[in-house]
Amino acid sequence: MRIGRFHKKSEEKPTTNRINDGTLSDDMNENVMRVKNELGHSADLSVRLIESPHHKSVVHAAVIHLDGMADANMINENIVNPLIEWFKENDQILTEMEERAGRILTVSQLTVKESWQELISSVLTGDTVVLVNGNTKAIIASTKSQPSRAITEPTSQTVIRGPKDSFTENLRTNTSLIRARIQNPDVRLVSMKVGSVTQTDIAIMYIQGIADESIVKEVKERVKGIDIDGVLESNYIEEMIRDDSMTIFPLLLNTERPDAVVGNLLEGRIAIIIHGTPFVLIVPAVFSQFFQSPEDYYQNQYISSSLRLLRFGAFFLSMYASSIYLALITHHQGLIPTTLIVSLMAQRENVPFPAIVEIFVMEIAFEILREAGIRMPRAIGPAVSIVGALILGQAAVEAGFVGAAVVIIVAISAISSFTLPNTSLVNVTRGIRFMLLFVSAFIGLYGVLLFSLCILLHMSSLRSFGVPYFAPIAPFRFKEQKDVLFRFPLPSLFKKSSRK
Amino acid sequence: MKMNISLLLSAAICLLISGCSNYRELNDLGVIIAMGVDHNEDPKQPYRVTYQVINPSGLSQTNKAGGQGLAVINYTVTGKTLLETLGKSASVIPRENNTTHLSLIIIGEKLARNDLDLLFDGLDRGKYSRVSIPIFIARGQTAKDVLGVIEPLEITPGKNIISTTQNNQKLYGSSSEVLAYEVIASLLSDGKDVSLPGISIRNASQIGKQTKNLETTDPTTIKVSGLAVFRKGKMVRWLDGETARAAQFVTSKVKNTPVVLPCKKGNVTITTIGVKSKMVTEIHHEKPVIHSKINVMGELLETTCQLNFSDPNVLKEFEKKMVKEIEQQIKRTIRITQKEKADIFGFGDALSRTNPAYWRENKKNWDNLYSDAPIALKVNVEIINSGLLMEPYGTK
Amino acid sequence: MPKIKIDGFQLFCMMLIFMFGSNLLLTIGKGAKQDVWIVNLLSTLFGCLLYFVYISLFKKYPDLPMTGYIRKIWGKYIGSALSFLYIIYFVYLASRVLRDFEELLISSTYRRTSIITLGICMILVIIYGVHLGLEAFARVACLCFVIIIMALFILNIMFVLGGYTKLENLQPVLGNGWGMVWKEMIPTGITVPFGELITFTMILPYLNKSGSAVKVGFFAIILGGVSLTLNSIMLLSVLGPEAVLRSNFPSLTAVSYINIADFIERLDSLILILMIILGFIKISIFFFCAIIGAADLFQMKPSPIFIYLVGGVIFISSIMIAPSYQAHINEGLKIVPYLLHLPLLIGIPILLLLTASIKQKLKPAVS
Repeated sequence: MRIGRFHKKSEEKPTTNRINDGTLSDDMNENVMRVKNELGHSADLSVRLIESPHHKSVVHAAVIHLDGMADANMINENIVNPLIEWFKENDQILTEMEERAGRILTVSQLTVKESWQELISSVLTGDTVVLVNGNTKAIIASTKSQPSRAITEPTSQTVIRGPKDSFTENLRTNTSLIRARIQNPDVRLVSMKVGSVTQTDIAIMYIQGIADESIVKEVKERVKGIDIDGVLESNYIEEMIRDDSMTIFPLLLNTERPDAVVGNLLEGRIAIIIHGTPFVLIVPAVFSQFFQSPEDYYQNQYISSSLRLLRFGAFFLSMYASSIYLALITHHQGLIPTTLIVSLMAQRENVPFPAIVEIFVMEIAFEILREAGIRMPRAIGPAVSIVGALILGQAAVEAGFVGAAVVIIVAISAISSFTLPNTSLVNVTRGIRFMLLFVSAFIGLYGVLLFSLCILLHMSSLRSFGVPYFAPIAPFRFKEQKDVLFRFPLPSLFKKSSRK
Repeated sequence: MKMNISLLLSAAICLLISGCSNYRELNDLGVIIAMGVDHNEDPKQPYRVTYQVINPSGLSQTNKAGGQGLAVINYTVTGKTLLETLGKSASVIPRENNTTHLSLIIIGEKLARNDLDLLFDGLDRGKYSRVSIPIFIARGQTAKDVLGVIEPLEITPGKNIISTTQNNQKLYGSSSEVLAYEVIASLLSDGKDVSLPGISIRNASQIGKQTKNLETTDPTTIKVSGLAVFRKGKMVRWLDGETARAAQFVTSKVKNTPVVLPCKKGNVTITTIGVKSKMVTEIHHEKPVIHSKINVMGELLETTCQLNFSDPNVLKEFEKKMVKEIEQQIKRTIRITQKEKADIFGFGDALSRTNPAYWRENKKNWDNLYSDAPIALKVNVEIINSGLLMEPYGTK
Repeated sequence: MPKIKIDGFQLFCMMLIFMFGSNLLLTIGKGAKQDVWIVNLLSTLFGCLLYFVYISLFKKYPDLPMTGYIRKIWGKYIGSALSFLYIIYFVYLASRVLRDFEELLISSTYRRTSIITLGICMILVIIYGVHLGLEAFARVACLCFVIIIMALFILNIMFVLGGYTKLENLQPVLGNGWGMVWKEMIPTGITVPFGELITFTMILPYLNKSGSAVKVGFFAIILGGVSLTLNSIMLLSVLGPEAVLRSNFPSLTAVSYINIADFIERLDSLILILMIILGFIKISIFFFCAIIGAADLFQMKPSPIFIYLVGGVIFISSIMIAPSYQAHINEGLKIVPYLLHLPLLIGIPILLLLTASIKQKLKPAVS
């Protein structure tokens, strides 16, 4: 539904371009009318006219804001109230308002704007515009207060020991969550707007002196170069700025954990924070990062190193378990130990389908279950998974539709994919698993191996913002091995960044 | 981008031309786990081969639909060569035969006495099976009969034969597993002859081939019996019991075996716990001399005499006795093989390593040289303890 | 000249895998029976000498591949003709190695699959690799290197732990005299794999620090030679000289013996995986050399179509090259070494070096 609008530039483009020109007139009523027209007499546009206490039908000022986007209390107490009070005492046309506004309005941030474009966009972001009769300038008071969710525990990247807060949909909340963790003047925050219709706020955050200047520049340029109607989630940005648009592998890291972002900033990476989504992008991302969980640094190095190895193992198991099983039973029966093949044969004796169909159907069934589990209303979710996993699997085996071994294999490959800390990599395993399945049915282990070589070749050719995707394993950099397969003790890890 | 599309296209072409792929369903396979080769009376078809095929539904315990039938089925085919019989077997076995799980080969005694020489070529060329599988001689019977026995303790007869032999090798040592590649190596070598373990049927009866065999406590079973000695690829005689075991001493294939020594009024049993031997052939006055150095470690574990084992001299005495006993047994065995001109130990190979020049000159004549060679044995026995008791309980 | 760069470690991995390539599969020099390892050890020494020749040429022209400086040294016409010959030679070698690996697969697990299917699958992956370029390929070589070393280590541990090694199989040392050793070493032992390292004269210009070529190269050759020697000792002690001689693929046979506790057995697949990776790397390197050479000779950028074309030629000639495996091996051991390897791998480089040195000495006198 959202895709339909993309890249439909040209004639039927919304009205955003019309307001670009022109300055305010000195007739306030005209200005107010024009604002109303520009916003199409929108229902949530609130215009408070402040009339003269003594002369009927003389309007001194207008306070304009979008209802719901701005803090109504603040407007009442700090803008409308002082203005009324002031006009009570000085029933006259307010001149030299740049100077006086600061004395009258008790708002922390005040700016004076002259162009229509700025005025309209301020209204749209939730600021309050004060128009005063006889002035060609508008006063903008910062009163943004958008509806936002409270900070909650992360839902997709949980840890046992570690911070329990996660990002929200609000850009400011998110940047403040990061700022609160690094109180350092070197933290830089660059703000941009992306999306020709939505004008979504985007912040690029990095630490000056640690982050690579050339990559920072590259990121800014790529984000600036994005040509898209709207940005609703971080993936919109990810797909627009990644190096290779056809790859299945994630070239940008996403996380909803502030501590993970801070950790990456400290390692010299750059965070892209997008308003409207709790997922923050981190560039450049290399393959091994997708196996690092923030928790690796919050517990003993031996445990986290072995857990990381376990994740690597699980990643391979998840991709290869079903295809290797298929290759063995259809092409390389000689490689299975005799006792095992005897029991496998006994299991498959009454299964009416070819092995490839059997395992493919089971994999698809699992994908259906997973998809159903995600889309289901929360309350029904557990019921579905129990019905699916237990009853379906058990019944299928008992009815002789599938062998028990296949159920085990599919379950193992599915469960091991959940050990991965990042969901983008889980999706990779799903894709590759199915491709491998076909290759394996076609030509057995040889095909599986050749396909793996293809994947390796493809991954080696990938780059994320100029950094080779397989770094620092290939090209091999000995000094950077401390945090790849194993996590070395923290003292030895931190020597690296202090040297820089 | 173009690259990706063309790769996909080529992959599709591959899929199309893969009519002759290796894809086989498990349900369509007849897995041959054992093979018996017999002599056939018909000179045009000199081989009679029995293929033992696994019957999966007979094996499965949890199978709802089945559980019927025996674990294995034997199919017998005759033919000119082994591979011809394999091809012919397709006319009796309803599933595509698969020899990758072949786990043993049994050769009928009659065939073994005729010739063994090029029997293994088809196996060694390696496309059809592994060569690390044991080979046995069916003693006094045909391989077909031996493979026909239904075993109560193990799932398949083949498995039973292998585990019985391994067990025998571990705990008695009269014979040991000989793998196909070792047989091939011996057949190729001028300095070593083949020796193979024999198996026969104990308690033979017709019931042995039926499920009834599983319902008695004294069933027909398979028995490891003796060591077949070959000379230039032809079987010449059997070695039994202690003579067979002595041969294993020389090649240090035996590890744990009880040696019984006489004492005043009864016997003492010493179980070896480790045997290490070294074969060297030396040349003395242009004639080979067979040297064998054997180190044996043992435990004294049973006695029926009244002896005081707390005295170390008693143990020393038994060590000497055991040296004598083992020397005697080994000499007897070597003499037998010398008489048959069958160098089953590989003294010729040992000579070829230490003295290649002499070997090159005399290898054609090795069997005669071997049969005349004097034997020099050096056995060393060490009894390290006498079990948990010092003295036996006396019948006073 | 070239934009893409590889580093010393990547060169090292590529060289080592390249040397393992056919040698691990076919056990070159097995005619010398017990003394295969002596052949390997001595060949390593000669290999070092040969590499010295290659590296001296490279030092004189650090920016050019061999096809480039051959034209500088011997002039446009002879140089171009020889460059073209080398390109054809690389293509031919690639197809020979491809055939080796096709035969390995056919004779082990894929006896019902057609050689064409196996070959097409392999060549497609290689074409894809060449298409992605040397840089990506070198990274993959590094990863493969780790896999190969680990697999070899595990296999050798198994041989030792399982008690399959019989050191007496190595005796008698030099039982058949030096005659067989020389015969096996010259020309086969020296040219394969050490002479074939001439391929790296095409790749060395891509090195990021050209100074490391000497150190890395010699280190790789010595390490590779020693590991090949160790490997042949291991194979001999497991199989015995007779079986090594008789077997088409000795390492495959040796691995099929492994059976530890009826559980660790049937490791043939492990060696197959190893061999396929080795073959992939080796064929790709020949392929790269042909492409680099052609790009240099015809002054063009390698287009995808050209890569497909060369790939197709390699594949088709791998099938057409010989009617049977025996003919293929016979050709490889009896004809090719004398007709192609000796002149192209040893003769021409030495002559080149001589001409180049003389030219260099004459030049100051002229100017």
